[in-house]
Amino acid sequence: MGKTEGLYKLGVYLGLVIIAIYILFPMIWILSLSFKVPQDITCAIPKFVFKPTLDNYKSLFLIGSLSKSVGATTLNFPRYFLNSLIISGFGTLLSLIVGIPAGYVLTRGRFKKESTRENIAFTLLSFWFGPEMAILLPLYKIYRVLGLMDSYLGLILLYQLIGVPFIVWLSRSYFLDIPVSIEDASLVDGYTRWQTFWRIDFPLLKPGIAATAVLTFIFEWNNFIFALVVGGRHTMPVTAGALGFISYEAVLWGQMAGAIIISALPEIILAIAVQKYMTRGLTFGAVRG
Amino acid sequence: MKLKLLLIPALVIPIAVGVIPFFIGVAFSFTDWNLTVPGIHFIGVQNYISLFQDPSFWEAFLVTLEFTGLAVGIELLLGSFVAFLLSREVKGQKFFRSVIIIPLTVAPVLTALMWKLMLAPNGGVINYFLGLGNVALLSNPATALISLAMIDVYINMPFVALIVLAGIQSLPAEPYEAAQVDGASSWFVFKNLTLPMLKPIIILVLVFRLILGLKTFDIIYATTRGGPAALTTNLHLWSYINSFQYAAIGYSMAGTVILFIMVFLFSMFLIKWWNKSVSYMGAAR
Repeated sequence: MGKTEGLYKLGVYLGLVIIAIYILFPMIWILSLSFKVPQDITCAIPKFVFKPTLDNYKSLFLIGSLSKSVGATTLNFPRYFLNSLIISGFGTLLSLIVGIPAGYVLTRGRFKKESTRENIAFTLLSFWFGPEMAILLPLYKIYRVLGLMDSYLGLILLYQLIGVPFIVWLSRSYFLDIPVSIEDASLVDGYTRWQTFWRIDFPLLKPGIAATAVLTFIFEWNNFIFALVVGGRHTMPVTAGALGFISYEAVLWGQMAGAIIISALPEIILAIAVQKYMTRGLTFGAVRG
Repeated sequence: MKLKLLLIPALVIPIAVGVIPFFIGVAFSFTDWNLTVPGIHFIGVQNYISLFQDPSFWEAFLVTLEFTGLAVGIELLLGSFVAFLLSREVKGQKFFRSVIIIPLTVAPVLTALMWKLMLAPNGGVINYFLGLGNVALLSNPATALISLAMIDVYINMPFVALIVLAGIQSLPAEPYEAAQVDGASSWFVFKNLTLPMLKPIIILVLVFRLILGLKTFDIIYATTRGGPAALTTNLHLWSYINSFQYAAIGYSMAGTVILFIMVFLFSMFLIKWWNKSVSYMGAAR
């Protein structure tokens, strides 16, 4: 028994190590590329030992040096990063302000027809699962007429299709965890609904909402297709911007690797901080995890 | 009464940037609007008829199914196995569970670009490890779609692992104790206990992965842009190319509407299946 048990444990361990290498190797390899000079990147036999350089990172942040190295293409990575922060930051804020009250109403509100509740919830959900191109071409035309192309406002509004359904569904799943009876007791005590929300629900909700906000930020940060279609030079976030490192004139492998690392690192740190809430978040509250 | 007013902003914004554009798009699909030709006319279902005679549309349709089937199939098998590994009590379990969420976190476009760098024919580390020389896996007709599916597996296998892990952790202990007392073989236990009890969660995983797989866009755009030829152009990319490169607005919207209907019907079917499995099992939670 003891021996097979030990072998079994070893097998499991070996499997886990292989999976960890599979997941981490690409990250580590790209990290190493970001410290390599061009000759070390494109040589036929990959270099595992090399003299590290900070040139790639320097050229990402020194304004103008990137655009010089690719001729006509103007790359401005600090700007992309700032754009991502602005669009996802304000996008998440708006999603929270709009989404949490809606999640509350969909859980606690009374509806004439009970099916209304689910119909609204599922219609919102369809924006996650429907193909984005079904709305993007008409929206492109509308935005051109309204002057919303390549504007923060236009993108932040569009990003609500990511944030609002997600927050409505998750906050609903958190509100369902709070027994109606404690809310009712507070209402009977003479507190208004508003006061009751802040006294009873909010303290219970806080950790879940904080995690939901972080996940919303990550999802909005990760979006690509919206920015590709209605974004532009002024509003380009890191996801669309990273593609600019491959152009007809040149492929800036090292700088691109650096840009990927800088764009991905904040997300990884944030995600590990809210790891406990990941399963519930990714399934819109369907699995408690 | 006043409470319901709080719902309004959550409806107004998605209606403005989602629902209204969608119906305008459906209306476009019945016109011959093309930016390269002046004038717009209502032409009924002509676009839809042309679609069914368009080999590029059918090719994209097949690519959509092949890519989704291949990627999700591998994700389900590998992800379930990883979930099993992660459910075992070993040292460093916390570390392994943190590692698994990383690919889910990084933007798919960025991950795709990482793989593009690693799959580069000159100096790409994967080619070196596999001893492929300067074969370009992403632009070779025989390997392009499979390589893309593998990138998708890297990104989404952890999703399957994480959700199935939650399922394994919520399995009740009693039936297993009973099976042990009866001396049931481990295969018997797996087939008759674990698998049926995990069924709702596996279906839930399929709901998510299949629907999202059908509308994959980011990783294809970032790596192959649908090439070589149109071998990796799925319907979502087909729609983008027809809209923004060929400017055939009416026609591309018709194709997009078909994709939308396909995703919609598929979702309905999968969600029904999930509901049924949940009600059989009592609860998946």
